[in-house]
Amino acid sequence: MKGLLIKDFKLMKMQKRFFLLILLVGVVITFSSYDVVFTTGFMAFVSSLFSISSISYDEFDNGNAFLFSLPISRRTYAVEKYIFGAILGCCAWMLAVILTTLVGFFKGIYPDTEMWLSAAFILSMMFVILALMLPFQLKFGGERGRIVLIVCLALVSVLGTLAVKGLQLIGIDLVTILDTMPTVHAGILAAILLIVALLLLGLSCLISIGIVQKKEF
Amino acid sequence: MLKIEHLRKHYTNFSLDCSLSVMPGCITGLVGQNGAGKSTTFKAVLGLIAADGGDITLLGKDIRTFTAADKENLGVVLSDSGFSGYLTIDDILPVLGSLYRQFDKTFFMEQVKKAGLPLCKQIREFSTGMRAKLKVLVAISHNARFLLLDEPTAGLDVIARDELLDLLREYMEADPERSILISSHISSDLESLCDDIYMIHEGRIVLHEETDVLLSDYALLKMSEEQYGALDKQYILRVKKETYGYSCLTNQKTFYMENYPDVAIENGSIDEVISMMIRGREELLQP
Repeated sequence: MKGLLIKDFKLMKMQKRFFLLILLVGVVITFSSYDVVFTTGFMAFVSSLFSISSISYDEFDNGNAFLFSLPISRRTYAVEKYIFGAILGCCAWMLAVILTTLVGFFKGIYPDTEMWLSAAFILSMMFVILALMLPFQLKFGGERGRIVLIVCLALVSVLGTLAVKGLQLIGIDLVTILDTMPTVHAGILAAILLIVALLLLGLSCLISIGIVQKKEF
Repeated sequence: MLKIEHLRKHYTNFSLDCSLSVMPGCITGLVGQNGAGKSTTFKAVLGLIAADGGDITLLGKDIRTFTAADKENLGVVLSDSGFSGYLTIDDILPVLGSLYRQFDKTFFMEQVKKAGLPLCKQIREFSTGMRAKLKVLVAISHNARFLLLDEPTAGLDVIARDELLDLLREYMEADPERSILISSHISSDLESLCDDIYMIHEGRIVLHEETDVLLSDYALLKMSEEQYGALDKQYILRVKKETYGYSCLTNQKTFYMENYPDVAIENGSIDEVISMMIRGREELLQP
């Protein structure tokens, strides 16, 4: 695991300009408009997605064949991609939180519950995005993975819309139901979101292990 | 060390059915044309592809139960794959250090220096020779018990090839229990290095012989049609029709030297044996 992580961090080193650019954009946006959701979201999502790119780097020039002849198991490889993505995302997220807090102090805006909630929501979303993208990338590889993911998301949204419309036709209105649900404390909601996101990540990781174990190189 | 029994793998236009074994302390060669099944065999041994049938035992263990820790005992060179070209030697050092408990950094760095490989240059900018040397150095720097080398000398000039083969000889000398399975297109590499040689053609092993026997007892007989007609064909393996008559491959050179002094007899080189085994025919031997 450690060896794979070192490899991925070394590969990431090549993109250091890209990461500096992300940081720069984050700083500029925070100073100009102070948007916590945008800064944390942008920095965490873009950074964690390097885990997806690292899969393409591994595939490049048939590199996977050699990689899997090294003393690593297929399970370790799959798990490492999740850990790598999570480390990158969490670090970038923390950096973004620190950045927005510091800029906030500078501008006289102090962190409030809403800011923490937004940040926690973004962190959960980042895990969900990783959970969605990694299995596709591992199964279909770089180019095809992206296309298949877009097609799947489109299918899901079409099916979702159809489901809502269908329920409306038989007299059930989801929006009203959601509105009438008892209000939950925002902190608990954030915690629930995070737990659900982590569970999804775990499930996705199990699927990815299955995918990598079936692959041939 | 390695025992492959009826390893089977089917693709649309190709099927492999291969059996071979590598003994402790031996260097075994695997030769064959492009697409003969060499790389498929290597990949199956490494568990990179799932076999459709057969058994592979590596270092006394069924390949299906091979763990990451077991793989530390292997040194691997693949013809078409290696460390990501975007990495440098400086980058892969800590990777190797954490993957292999017995990684010998001092030895590795000495060899890298000796081979003149740059530490901070991306591997994709290396010449073919440099890349090949790096692959072999990675394979021999962690006290592996068994090397699986698929075309390690491909694309190398004579000097680079000799240096690389010397590295392999040194590796073998360090421990008499070590073994190597090596494939190559260049038969002179195999002649000077291997203890025994397997020849693979269209997914099947068509010949297995000790290198010494191959070089001393195999020969090419060249003769006219009349001479061919009178020839005792019991030790002839393959026959090929030529403009001058026939050429035949035998594994009993002495028999024909003694009994047919008029027939031109050429010592068999591995290249000629390969060529005859593949392009020569058996059915011509039928009366």
